[in-house]
Amino acid sequence: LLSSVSTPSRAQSQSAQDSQSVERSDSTCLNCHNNPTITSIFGTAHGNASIPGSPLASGGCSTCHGDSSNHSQAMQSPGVVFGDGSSRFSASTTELQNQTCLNCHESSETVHWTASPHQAADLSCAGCHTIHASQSAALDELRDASICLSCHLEQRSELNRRSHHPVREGLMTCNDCHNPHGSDAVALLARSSINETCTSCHAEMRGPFLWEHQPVNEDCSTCHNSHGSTQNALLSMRQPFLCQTCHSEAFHPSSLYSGTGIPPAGAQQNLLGSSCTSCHSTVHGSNHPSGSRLTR
Amino acid sequence: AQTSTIEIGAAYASDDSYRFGQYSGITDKGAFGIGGFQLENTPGADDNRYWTITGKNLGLEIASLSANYRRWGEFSFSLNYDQLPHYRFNDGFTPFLGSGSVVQTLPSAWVGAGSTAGFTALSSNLNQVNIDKQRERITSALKWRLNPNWELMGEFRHETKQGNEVLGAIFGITGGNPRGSLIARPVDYQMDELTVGVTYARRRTQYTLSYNTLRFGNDNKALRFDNPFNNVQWAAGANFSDGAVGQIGLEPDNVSSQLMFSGAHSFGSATRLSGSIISTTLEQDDSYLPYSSVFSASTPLPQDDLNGEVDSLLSNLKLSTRLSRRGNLNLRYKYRERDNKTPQAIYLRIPGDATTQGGLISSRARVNRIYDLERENYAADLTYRFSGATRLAVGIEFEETDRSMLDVATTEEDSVFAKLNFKPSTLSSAWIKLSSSERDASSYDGSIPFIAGHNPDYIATLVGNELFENDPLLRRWHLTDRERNELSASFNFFPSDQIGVSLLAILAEDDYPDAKIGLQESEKSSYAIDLTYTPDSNWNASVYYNFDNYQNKQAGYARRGGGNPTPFFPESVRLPGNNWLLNSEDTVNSIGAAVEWTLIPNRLDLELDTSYMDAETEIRPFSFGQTFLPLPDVTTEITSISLSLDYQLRDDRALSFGYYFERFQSNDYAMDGAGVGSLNNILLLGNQSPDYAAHFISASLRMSF
Repeated sequence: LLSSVSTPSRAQSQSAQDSQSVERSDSTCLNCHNNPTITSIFGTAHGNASIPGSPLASGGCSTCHGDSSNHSQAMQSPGVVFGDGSSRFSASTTELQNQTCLNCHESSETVHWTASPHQAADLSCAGCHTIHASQSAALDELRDASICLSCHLEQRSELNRRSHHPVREGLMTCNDCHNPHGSDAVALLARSSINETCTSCHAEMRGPFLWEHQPVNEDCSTCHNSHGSTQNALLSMRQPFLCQTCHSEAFHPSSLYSGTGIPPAGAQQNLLGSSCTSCHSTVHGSNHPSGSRLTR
Repeated sequence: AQTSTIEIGAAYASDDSYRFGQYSGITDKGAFGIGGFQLENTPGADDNRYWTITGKNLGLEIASLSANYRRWGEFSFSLNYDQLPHYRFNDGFTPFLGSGSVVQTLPSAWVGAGSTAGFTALSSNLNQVNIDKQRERITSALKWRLNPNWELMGEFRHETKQGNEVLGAIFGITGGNPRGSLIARPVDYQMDELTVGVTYARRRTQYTLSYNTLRFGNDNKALRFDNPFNNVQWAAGANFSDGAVGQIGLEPDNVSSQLMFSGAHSFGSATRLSGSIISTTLEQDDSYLPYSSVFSASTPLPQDDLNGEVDSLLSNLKLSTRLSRRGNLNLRYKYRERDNKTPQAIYLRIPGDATTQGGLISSRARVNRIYDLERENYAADLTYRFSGATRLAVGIEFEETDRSMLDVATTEEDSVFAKLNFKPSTLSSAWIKLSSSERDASSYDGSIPFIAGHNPDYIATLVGNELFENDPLLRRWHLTDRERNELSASFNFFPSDQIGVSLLAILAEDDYPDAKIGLQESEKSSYAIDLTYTPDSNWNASVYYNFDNYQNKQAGYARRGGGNPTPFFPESVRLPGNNWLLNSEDTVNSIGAAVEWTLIPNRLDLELDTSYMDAETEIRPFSFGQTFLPLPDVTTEITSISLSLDYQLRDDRALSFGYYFERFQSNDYAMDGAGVGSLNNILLLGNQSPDYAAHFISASLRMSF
C-alpha cells in the first residue's frame, strides 16, 4: 500500500518513440513490428543510438536478434528468439539467448555468471528482464523480490513469518544481499561470505571481541535464519533449547526446561523474558575484561 | 522531454499499534499527509543523458529520496537517502530512571531486597518502556567508463542506527543464580563504508580490483545501572555495599579493510576460468572497562585494550568447460582462512560486579580464546543434455575444515548430488534433485576449549574429568559427525496459455549419530503450490499455499553436584533419571492470493493482495527422572489485506485509493502473563506478545507533467 501511494507511476513515461528514433532503427523490422511493445525499446539504453556500443548504435535489431534475413524474407525464425518464444517461433536455446546478452554485459557484476546456480538452472536473462520495456521489474528495486520469489517459494514463506527482514515491506531487496548474476560466495551472496553480508549492516556484532562466541565468527546462520523465522530475532530454534544444542555445562545449562518453569507452575529465568540472553546478553561477543561468560 | 509525476494525499491509521509500525513507522492512530514525486527526463534519440529525482513515502518514517544522473554508456552517479524504522514494543515497564540512556538509576523511594518479591516499591515506581530503533542511510555511487575497456567505480555509505534495545544487565551472581534486570540500552551506531575499484573488461577477459573499508562506531562504550537487589548472600569474599553500581560493556568500535581482485578469462567459446582473492583485516582497539565498577581489582588488567586483529583470506577458482555439444564440466576450488592475531592474556574475571577478584590459580583466571579456521573445498559437477529439455547434472564435493581451540580439530565432509530436469509433456517441466553428504570429525575432545580458555597453571591442578565446560558426551552439531540427505522436486504445468501451476516439495534430514547429548536429528519438509491465471492482458490472478514443518530432537543430561569445576563422570555411573529428551516442532502454513485487474482500460486499475500465515511451535520435553510438564504452544497468526485502486482522471491526473489491513495474533509463554516481577532474580520488562488489528486507508492525487 505504501509503495503504491508513494511510487509515482511511469505508465505515461514512454514518450521516446519519437519519429527520429524510428527512422534511425532498422526500418525493415519496423515495417511489421511497429507496435508499442516493440518500439518501447527506444526509451531505453538499448534503443538509444547516441550511446556508444548500444544495440541500436551497433547494428539495430540484428545486434541482439541475429541474422534475420530469412525471417524478413521468408518468415522463418529470426536468429535469436528470446523468452519462451511465440506461437510461431520456438525460443532459442537459453545458452544462445544469454550469450547474446553477455556479449556486451559480461563485466564486473556478471563475471561469475558461467557455472552459477542460475545458469545451471537454465535461467535466461529474459526470464527476469524485459528488454524492450523502459521499466523492467528486475530493475525496479521495489518489485524485484516478486521476481525472485516466483521461483524461490521456500524463501517466500520464510519472509512472511513474524521475524523477517523487511523484504515484503519493500525496504530491502533480495539484491541487498544476493547477486543473482553469479557470485563466488555461497547462495549467490554479493559479498564474500555469510558473515560479511550480515555484518555489513550489523557491524556491531563482528568484533573482534576479547571473548568470542565461536559460532558467531564462523557462520551467522548457525543460529539465525536470515530470511525469516517463527522465533524472535530470526533464530532458527527457540531459546533456551537452541543454546542447549551446544551447551551442557553443569547446573542450569544442562537442566530440562518445561512447563514447570512457567506460570502458574513456576517461574524459570531461562524460559521467561529473554531466556538465556537475559543474562548472557553479549552473546555475539564481549569486550569486557570480566565478560568471558558473555554476561558483561 | 520530461515525464514527471507528483503525488500528494492523506492517510489515516485506525489504531494505535507499536508493532504495526515495526517496518512502517505508523504506530499511532490518526491522519497524516503522504506524498511522493519523480522528476525525470527522457532522453531523445541523440541524447544519452538521463536523470531522475525521486521521493517516496514522504510523510512516513520510511521516506526515501534519491537522485540519479547518468550518461548511458559513459558515466553514472547516484545519491540516496532512506530510513528504516524498527518498532518492537511499547508495553514494557521498568523502575529504572533514564531508560534508554547509559546511566540508569533507581528512584529514591526504591526498596531493595534479596529477590523481586521483596521489591515493595516496584509497582509504584514503574515507567513505560518503548523499544525501537531508526536506521538512516545515505549512499552514493559513481561509475565512470573511461573507454570501452576501463571503468572506475566508487561507492560510499554513511549509516546511523539510533534508539534502544533490550539488554540483560547482570549485577551479581550467588551460587550460580544471577541478580539482574532487563533494561532498555541505548543504541547509537554509525557506519561509514567506502569502496573504490577499477574494472578492465574485454570480450574474453574481465578483471576487477577493488578496495573496501568499513568503519563502525558506537557512541556508548558502557552502561551503568543501579543494583536493585540487596541483602543477598553474594559469593564468598564479596564485600560490596548496597547501592553499588553495575556496569556492562557495549560494542566497541571496529574497522575493516579489504582488498579484492577478481577476474575471468574465456578460452575460446568453450572454456572459462574465473576466480577471486579477497584479503580482509578487521581491527578493534577500544580501551577496556575495569574488571568491576565496584572493586578496585588487586591484579591489574594485562593490557589497556585488546589490540584485536583478525585477518582473513578467501580465494576461489572456477573452471567451466564444454566437453561436447551435450556435456559441461565445472571444477571449483575454494580456500578460506581466518587468522586471529589478537594477543592472548590471562584475565582475572569478576562475575557481575559484586564479587572479589579470584587468584591466578582459579577458574576465574581466563585466557581469551582466539579462534582460527582454515577451510578447503573442492567441487566438480557434470551436466549432460539429453535430447529435448532433459538434462542430468551430477556433482561431488569435498570440504576439509581445520579449527583451533575447539572440541574438534578437523572435519571432512563429502557431498554428492544428482539433478534431473525433464519435460513430461510439451506443457510441463519438472526437476528432481537428490543430495547427500557425510561429515566426519577427526575426534571429539571437549576438554580442548576448556584448557585453551584457562590459565595453564590452573589447568595443572585439575584431573581428567574436571577438564570440561560441557558434558563430554555432548556433540556440538556444527562440529560433529553428520549425515545429511535432501530430496527436492518441482513440477510446472501449463494446461493452457492462461493457467500455470507450480509445485515444489523439499524433504531434508540431518542425523548426528554420535550425539548422546545435544542435537540428534533435524528434519524439514516443505511443500508449495502456486496457481496463476492470466485470461487476458486486463487481469491476472494468483494463489499460493506453503506448508513448512521443522522438527528437532535433542537430548540432555541434567548435571548437578558440588565442586568447582564440577567433574563429569562416565556414562556407566550416571543416573539414568537425569537423562532428558526434547522434541521441538515448528509448523507454518502460508496462504496468499493476488489479483491485478484493469477494470476500465486506461482508466481504472485494481490490485488486491492478501496473505495469511499461521505458525505453531510445539515443544515436548520428556524424562524418566526429571520433573516436567508440557509447554504451551507458541503461536502466531498474521492476516493482511492490501487493496489499491488507481483511477485515471485524464492523461495527466490520477486518483489512488488504498486500504491495508493487518491482524497479528500471537501467544508466547515467555511473555504472556509474565510481569515485571515474575522472576525471583531478574526484573523483566513485562511486555506481552503482540496482538493487534490495524486498518490503514489512503487517498492521493497523482499529477504528471
